Amino acid sequence: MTTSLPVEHGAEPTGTEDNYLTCDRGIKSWIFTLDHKRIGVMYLIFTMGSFLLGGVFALLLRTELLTPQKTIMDADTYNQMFTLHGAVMVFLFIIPGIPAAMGNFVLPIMLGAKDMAFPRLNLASLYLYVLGAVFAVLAIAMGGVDTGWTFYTPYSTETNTAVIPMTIGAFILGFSSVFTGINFIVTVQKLRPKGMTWFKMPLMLWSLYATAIIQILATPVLGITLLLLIIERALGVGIFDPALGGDPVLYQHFFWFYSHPAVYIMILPAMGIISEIISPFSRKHIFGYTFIAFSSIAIALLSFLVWGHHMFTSTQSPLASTIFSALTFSVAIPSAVKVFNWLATMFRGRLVLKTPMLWVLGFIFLFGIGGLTGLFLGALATDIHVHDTYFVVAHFHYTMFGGPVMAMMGGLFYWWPKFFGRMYKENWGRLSALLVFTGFNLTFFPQFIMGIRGMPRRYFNYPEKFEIFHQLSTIGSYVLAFGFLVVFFTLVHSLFRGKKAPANPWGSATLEWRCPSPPPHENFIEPPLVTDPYDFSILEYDEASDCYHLKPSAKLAEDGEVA
Amino acid sequence: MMSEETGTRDFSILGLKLFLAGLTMLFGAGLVGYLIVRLGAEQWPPAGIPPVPWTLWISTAVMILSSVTIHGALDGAREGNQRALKSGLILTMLLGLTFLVSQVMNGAAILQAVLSDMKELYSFTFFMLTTLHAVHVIGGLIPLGIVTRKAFAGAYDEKNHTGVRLITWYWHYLDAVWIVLCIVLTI
Amino acid sequence: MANDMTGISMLAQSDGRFWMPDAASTSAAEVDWVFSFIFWISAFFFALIVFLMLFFVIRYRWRKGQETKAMPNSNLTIEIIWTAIPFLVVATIFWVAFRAYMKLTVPPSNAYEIQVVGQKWKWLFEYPNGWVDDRLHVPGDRAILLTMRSEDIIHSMFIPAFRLKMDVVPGRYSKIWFKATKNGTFDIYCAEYCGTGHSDMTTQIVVHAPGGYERWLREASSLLSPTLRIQDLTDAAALARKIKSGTDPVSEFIRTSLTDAGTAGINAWNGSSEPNDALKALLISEINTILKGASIYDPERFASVTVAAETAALMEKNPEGEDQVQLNRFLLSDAMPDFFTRGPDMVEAGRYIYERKGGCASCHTLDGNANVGPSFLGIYGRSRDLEGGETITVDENYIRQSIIEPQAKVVLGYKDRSVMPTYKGRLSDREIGAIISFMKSAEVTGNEK
Repeated sequence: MTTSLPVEHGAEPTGTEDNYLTCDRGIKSWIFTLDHKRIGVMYLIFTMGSFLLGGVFALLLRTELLTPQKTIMDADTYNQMFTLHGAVMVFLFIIPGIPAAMGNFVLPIMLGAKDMAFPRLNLASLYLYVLGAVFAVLAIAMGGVDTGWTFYTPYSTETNTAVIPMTIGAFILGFSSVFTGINFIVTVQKLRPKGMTWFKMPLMLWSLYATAIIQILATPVLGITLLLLIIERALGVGIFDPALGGDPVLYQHFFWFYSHPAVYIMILPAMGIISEIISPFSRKHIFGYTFIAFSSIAIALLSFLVWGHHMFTSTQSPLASTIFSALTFSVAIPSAVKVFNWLATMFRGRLVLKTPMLWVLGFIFLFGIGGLTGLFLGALATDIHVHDTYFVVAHFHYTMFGGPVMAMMGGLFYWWPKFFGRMYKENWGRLSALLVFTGFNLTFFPQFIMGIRGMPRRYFNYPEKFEIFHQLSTIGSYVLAFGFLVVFFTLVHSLFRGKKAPANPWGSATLEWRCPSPPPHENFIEPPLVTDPYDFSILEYDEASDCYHLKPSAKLAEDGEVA
Repeated sequence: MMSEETGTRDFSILGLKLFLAGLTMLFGAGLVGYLIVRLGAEQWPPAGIPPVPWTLWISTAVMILSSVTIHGALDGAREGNQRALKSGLILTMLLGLTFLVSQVMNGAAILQAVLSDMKELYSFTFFMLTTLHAVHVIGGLIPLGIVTRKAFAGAYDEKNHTGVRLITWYWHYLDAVWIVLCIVLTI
Repeated sequence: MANDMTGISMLAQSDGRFWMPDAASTSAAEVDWVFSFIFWISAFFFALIVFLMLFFVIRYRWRKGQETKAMPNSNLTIEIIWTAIPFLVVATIFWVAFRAYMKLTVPPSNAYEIQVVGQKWKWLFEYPNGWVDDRLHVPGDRAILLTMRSEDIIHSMFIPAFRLKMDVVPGRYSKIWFKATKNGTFDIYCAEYCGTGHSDMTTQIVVHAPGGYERWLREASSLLSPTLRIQDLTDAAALARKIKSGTDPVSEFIRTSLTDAGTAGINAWNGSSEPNDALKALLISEINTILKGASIYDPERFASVTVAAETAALMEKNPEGEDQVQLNRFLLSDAMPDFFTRGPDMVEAGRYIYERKGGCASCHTLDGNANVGPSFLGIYGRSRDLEGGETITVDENYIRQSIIEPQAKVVLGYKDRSVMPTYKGRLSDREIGAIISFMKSAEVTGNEK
């Protein structure tokens, strides 16, 4: 037996009713908002601000490295620059970037819910994020930090820079991350509307769920580690001090127990975005849904077992290194499975090469290099040589920039019409993707070569034989920065001059595209009709409004399957 | 916002469980740090320093007792027995405070023993673990106070007592953590 | 990735290799093999992914009116295949890399051990005979074990040409071993970030040809070397205190001449405890740097110092090279008489050369009995008749000449037996001076009896 779809679900929103941006006005309505979308937008603004700050540090760094000796700053300033670049990018930008900014906005809508399970906790996590950021800025104002973003002891307990405010900042940001994670899991488990079974969920939700597991279980370990570091610095006694019988390498174990899973906090939601974009832009159902979904969970669980691969040269026992190496390679498998499934999704599709899809193609290219160069690092013999060289710097930028940043940009261009109800200039968007892709490769590919040839990380002065590569890299970073300038201009321009966005400009089948753009305050007036998130046969294109609608003829089977 | 009562109750318990899972990682990391220092030491406790005071077990007894009283409060709430609810909560608060006093005395005893050399890891790790736990006890007393006040205001009945359930879960958890810590510290 | 290997030849290295640097150890060969293995596997998969992606982009790009071709949304067989293939690939890579790792992790039991100290921002190497150097010298083709420790924070010993890296952690010893296969000089870096001078914490490793290492070590640490060794320190604490807080001009001069590492080390020392081995090594290294520099003499600086006759005599000569170093050491010793010895014991050094290096003992006895050559006993200062009728006095000049040109003035009666080769170029001036000091010593002149 089947029932006809209710008319409202397919109805074109008139665009005159209030949306989440206009339903309430004034600064207070933002500061005290409990709306996940507004919180998401505020996160977006703050994380993008942090990205800008971290990017400025990066450009200063790269400029300094134009010559083998001093170019524009002294060694101490340089050391602070790379520390601040790393700390700001990791703690203030990438970790909260996709989950807290984009995840907050899209998770409840994609699920078909009105909001998060704990809206107040959600707002609290934003406040904590801001408080953590304030401490980070305070650390910068107090003269900066020069420990590297990893805060390795004993250096971090004896340097005379502002380590304490920075670590307090990271500690607070950890709480923010835990609260977001709890909210995600409870929301996904408890707020699924009728018909939204686990396997009807968009893959983005699977990856956010997997991310949340890591956020909840790994972050507290960072918390206690930083706390112990702060105490050791303040009181001069602690378990990382070798003079007292403590162990500085224990700090590294604790730190990476969090920080390795943390890279999956960054990459898993990125992979979710790729799955969300690649299917509608191939006009074809995602291939291997179940395998993509479970590979996210597998990555989340395996991520807890591999931290020791950061420590092959740390004097950890060869046996431990061997075990960590073997476990590390296991993470490669679910990642490879995802890539193959994405390619299979493109196979025999109809590829729409619009801006979001270009970022996705860039992602696959760059993440491919990032992932494959990880093999050299997971492998014991080769890691010994390339560890702590520019090879590692290049590798993690290919994974952490080529991955999350490319995906986040893809997601931003994909959901921008939904977030703010405006279309951007398509060709400008494409140009920005191309510029960023080119600049990125020019910046970081030379670093692989330098690294293999032995150029150590975090070097202020460097041997002249590396100069040409550093110069290429620096030029690349300027191209990259210009690319982001185009991104910024394209998006901001659309807010003022952009065409009004229809509800479903791309023809996606996930639920957020059933709401008007931008969505109303509580997303759905009544629980939405749940369909297969990647079945586009239920949609039809309407040229007049340049928008996709549910076919009125679409029928919903009783078991929830659209016939 | 999510106004369905039954739903809210479910969420909160799940949220709390997730929070406790995170806390377990926190205490777990603390314990691992402690064990690594202890197993790496030549002598534990160091020469001339007495072992941890036996009075830790008094704290343990108080903590276990408070678990019993808070469970009594929850049973009271489930059965609509307001008197059992209120007295259970009050007793738990008193026992919680007693626990903290007992811990302060234990800490003072350790401090006394190491006065000559404050910069060693024996007492540091002791304070690291006990303070970490005590902070969570203090953090528990605040919501416990709120729940108690609401109980006296008559906010809970047989159907609606999520607050009591949440604080009971949390309290049992603190009890379990303390027992583990106490065993590890004393053996 | 692979295309870069041909296209950008200007970026290649001097030996034509593109990726890995010079390979100069047994482990480098192993690691490079593993690297190439992973490289080609990665290159293959990357090419495959990018090819498929671009092919799909071109072949299946959106065209108006074309419908998506029907295709199943999943296929268990194909999922299993592309789960299994990466599994087999990474398992193989793990195994290959693990085997190579075991070889470079487990040192052979007969390895030659050198101690390494890492400190902000300097590497120091302690050789088995107590010699301390800021470059790492090793014999080629022999297993070397580095036992490393840190005096402050974590550093990391990185020798790119050997594909070796190991952290140096305070509170524990870390070890690495290698066997160099190429002679020459290679870079050593600190790979673990250690603050302001991190990128200056570099030095070189010198791999010697057979015999070269022993020669270097003997010469560097020779009994004749006027530089300081650890055992020359007689009162390290007093010396360190003088450098830390002495107000006399010489102390101030030393203090201002210290390297950053030296300043940091002396500042970190509490001023009273007995300096540990690392601080001693650092002091030695610092003072040796000063000794090896220009003359430290300056009338004002030494106004209140009593300059010994020996010092003054040497100063007269306007010495160069090692004698200059010796002069500096004399001057420092005059200013700080009780903290370290004045220099090598020339008599002992002479004995060493007589017995070992020069091999003089096989022909010249010390007991008065003639052997292949005349006995040295009591020879100094005596008159001797030569072949050809001349008579000379055995003095410094005669001895020097006899070592450089043995056949020029042969003592009467030794003409047929004279097989002595020239020592020109085999013994330095200083070494000849040491032999003369030895021959002038009471034991050899016989004056003690």
